[in-house]
Amino acid sequence: MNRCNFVSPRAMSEVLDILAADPEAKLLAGGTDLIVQMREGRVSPRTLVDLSRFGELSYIKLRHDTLHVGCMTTFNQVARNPLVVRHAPALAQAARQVGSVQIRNQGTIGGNLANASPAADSIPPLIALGAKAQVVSRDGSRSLAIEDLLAGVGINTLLPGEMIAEINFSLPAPRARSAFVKLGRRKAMAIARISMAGLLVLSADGLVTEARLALGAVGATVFRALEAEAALLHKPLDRAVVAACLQAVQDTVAQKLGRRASATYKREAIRGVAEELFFQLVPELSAP
Amino acid sequence: MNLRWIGKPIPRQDAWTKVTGEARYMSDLSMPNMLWGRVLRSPHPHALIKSLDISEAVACPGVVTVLTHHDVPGLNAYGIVVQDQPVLCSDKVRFVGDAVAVLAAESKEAAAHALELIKVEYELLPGVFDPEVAMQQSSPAIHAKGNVLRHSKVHHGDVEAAFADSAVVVEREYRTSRPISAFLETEGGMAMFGADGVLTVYCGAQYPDRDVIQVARALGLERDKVRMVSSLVGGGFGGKDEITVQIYLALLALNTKRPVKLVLSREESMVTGWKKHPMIVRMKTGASIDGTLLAHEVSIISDTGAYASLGGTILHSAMEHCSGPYRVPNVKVEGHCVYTNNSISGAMRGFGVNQVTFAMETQMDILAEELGLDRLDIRLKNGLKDGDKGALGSLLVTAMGPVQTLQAAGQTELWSQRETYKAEPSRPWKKRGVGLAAAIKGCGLGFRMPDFGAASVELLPSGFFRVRVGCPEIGQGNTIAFAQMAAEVLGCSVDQVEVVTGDTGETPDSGTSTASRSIYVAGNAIIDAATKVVELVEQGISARLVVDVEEVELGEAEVRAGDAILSYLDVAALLLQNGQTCYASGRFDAPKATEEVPSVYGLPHLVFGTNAHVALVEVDTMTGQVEVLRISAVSDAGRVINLQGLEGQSEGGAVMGMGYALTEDIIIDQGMVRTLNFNNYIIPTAMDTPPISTTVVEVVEKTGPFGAKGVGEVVCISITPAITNAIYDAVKVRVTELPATIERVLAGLQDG
Repeated sequence: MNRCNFVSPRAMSEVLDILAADPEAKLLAGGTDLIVQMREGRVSPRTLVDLSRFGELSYIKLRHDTLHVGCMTTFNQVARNPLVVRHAPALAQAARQVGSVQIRNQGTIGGNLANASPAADSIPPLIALGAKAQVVSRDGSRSLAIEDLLAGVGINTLLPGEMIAEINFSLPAPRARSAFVKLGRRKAMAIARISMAGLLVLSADGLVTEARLALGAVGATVFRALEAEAALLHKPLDRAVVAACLQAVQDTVAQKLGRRASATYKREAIRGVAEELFFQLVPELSAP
Repeated sequence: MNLRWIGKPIPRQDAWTKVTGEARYMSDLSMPNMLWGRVLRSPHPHALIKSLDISEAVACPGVVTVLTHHDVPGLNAYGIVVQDQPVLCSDKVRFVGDAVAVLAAESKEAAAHALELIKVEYELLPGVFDPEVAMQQSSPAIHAKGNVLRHSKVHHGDVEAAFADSAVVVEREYRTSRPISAFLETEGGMAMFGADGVLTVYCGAQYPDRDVIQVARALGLERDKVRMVSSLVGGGFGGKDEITVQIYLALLALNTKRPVKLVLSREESMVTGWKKHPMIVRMKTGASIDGTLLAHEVSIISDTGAYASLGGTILHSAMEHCSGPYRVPNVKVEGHCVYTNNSISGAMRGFGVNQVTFAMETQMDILAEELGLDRLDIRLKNGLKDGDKGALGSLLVTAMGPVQTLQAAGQTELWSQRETYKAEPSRPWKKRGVGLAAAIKGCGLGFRMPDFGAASVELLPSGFFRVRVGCPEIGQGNTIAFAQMAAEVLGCSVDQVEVVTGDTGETPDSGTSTASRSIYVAGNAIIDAATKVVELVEQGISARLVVDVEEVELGEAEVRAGDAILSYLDVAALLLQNGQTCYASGRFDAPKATEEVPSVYGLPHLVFGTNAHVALVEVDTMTGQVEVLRISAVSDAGRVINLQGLEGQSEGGAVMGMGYALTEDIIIDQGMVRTLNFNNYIIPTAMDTPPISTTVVEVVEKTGPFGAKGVGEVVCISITPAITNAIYDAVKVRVTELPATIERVLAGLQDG
């Protein structure tokens, strides 16, 4: 690792000033991705800005039916938060499956998002929840959908001087169901080979009124499976409808993967991941 | 035998300090005025060194010394069997990671920086990465003597005739992977000169006395000017049997006359460490209609990588165990151990037996299926017994446990209730299966190598006894077992025995902590020494207190002498007056077979441990993911010395063999190692580890200490085919290539 400047600001305004002055400076949140990348020599920032010295970026709070999650909130804080567990089980499930206990104590949701890995565990559920990122700079702030923050493998759309301060989402409808499924090579400390999150809202008469499905590790970014969502909308959740949706998921993934080396495996295995997701979302369908 | 300590689950003496982190491994040590060492390694798999320029690195601030092949005072080579691996390469590099220079600097950072300033000009040579290609005459020669390190053949009986008589013949090819030990402590340590002019190397290793030989030979020093301290060791598994960094530490200390520390990074360890040999195993096995094995023809091609180390010996071990724990009257086996420009292969827990047992136990399942026989029955029918001949035709004269072990495996709940366990998978699209396999593994070094144990026992002024044994504690738990065996003979409590291992300045050479041997050989040596000390105490007390020797009796906390009762402190005070000692050394020479197997050097082994495993898996038919839900292990260790220790070995072995079955593999692409850390070298975590139960079968070996054999390796062998056989039982996918990754299993499901 090369030498670099290490600064520990004591307030958000200081961070934004540093970023404005040196847009190349790297923010250090939990460091579970950044430090690994530095160790491998993939990045060598001149300035590291430590975000751990002031507490104001770590919070989970409910205001006017919107859940606000500070960028420095760790995965364990997300996983154990009763509001998240109750209203956004998919996000809690994803946070529980990140790395190991030690990594979950260290890694943050903001860092996970900014790192923009297609295999990031928190991103599919955030997209399924319709979450937005609150992005700030010295000059102001803006809100953008999570999908719009992702530009490619490890590439986000933040402008020079900007950082993700918060992630927020409107609480899903009372009849919403959400879940997250990750396929890895082992049960902990695993990078997702494929991941998928889904959120479904059913009307009183059992029709799907809202469907968001997000796929991870099968493209350059996490993305929504729009055709598969369309296969569900305004329909009853019966076996035939789910089958059509699964087929659409599989087609989308096959198209997205193209001729990548991993495509042979993933375009088949996605079927199992999607099946498991629907097993969790609609357990009554699998009842004997 | 009425045993007081043997077999009891006595907690290890090092458990607490290891759990709290208080224990110090050799690579944890540091000293004032210490330098940091680094090794410059080849980035190319095969190249000539055209020039080597260290001038910039030498001039770099903080750098104390930079050494190349010119600076190796003695033999610039090492290797346990043949010395073909340069300490520092002079003209040629043969794998990515081959050492070219070493340096020492005032700080880690300066050392890292200076490494980049060494200029090496290479002329690239074509690399050879496929062992079957390497065997061809037309391939580029990696060593002047050619690319075949060892070629051996054995044929006993008449294989052709027996195949003709067989009702079924099963022929398959198996390919195995390249796992690494993945020990907690990477290779590392410290070296320094003492005031007495002795160079002490502190480095976690499995045979310090042999390391002294190799270090002294490379440095051109007398052996008594080198001392190796290698205990505690943060895991060995075979990967610290050969030299790792000992010679580099010694060279740097020799040149700087300062303490030097050198610890490999995990990435460096993954690239340069000793791997298990990948093998291509072709097996043709014939059986009669009732499942009796008649003929077995085996070809083994073993990729030893760039240097020999124990490659030839490991090939022979694979050949000896090529019929697993089964009796086959007609066997023809041919083995090649081949150099390639891949990473180096060497000793790793199982020593060639994992590979062939995976193949043989798959053959057994296929035979059972083709003949319509029960998988347990066919194994029991063919299980080796005392008096049978082994795969290479040698007579088995010691306690053989395959039949008893398999019978116990058949009685485990997991096997007998397997249909119940398989009945309700967790998802409609998942399927469960149960697999069974068994293995034997020879204990000790075989026919040729001197195979001895040595130990000393002495009474200390504190009234405690000190036991000294060369075989280091490498995490396997031999220390507590040594203490129990000594206490059993001495009569005192285990708490009163202190054990020192792995220090050539303190402990007698007792051979390696490898080959499932340390309990067997060192245990017998301890019994010898402790028996003598009991006599010394009895005679000494008898003389001082004027009582009959028969009336002196050593007890748990005190010694009875006629009517008097003495504490051990009193005993020490009486016996150690005026510079007198109460000390004895003990020795054990492992018995050997009466004759060597013709044409394969160093075989056969005499004593064998046995293990059987039953595994329950659940396979996701849509993703190929395999989850191991339950493991039952059955272990024949002969007489168990420490039940807790045996269970620890059994559970650790099962998890290691599970990683071998499902995920672990060092991926090398054109000589470049792609798996550099635990993010993509996938070992099972605690979350992946199922409940493991261990059943003990004690097939007592009369030459063993209290009847014990060794189990350090056999516990990790049959679990691998038990899992792959369970996969077949679940989804009819036959795994013939390790590891059974999600991709391979799914591809198998699609082909089926």
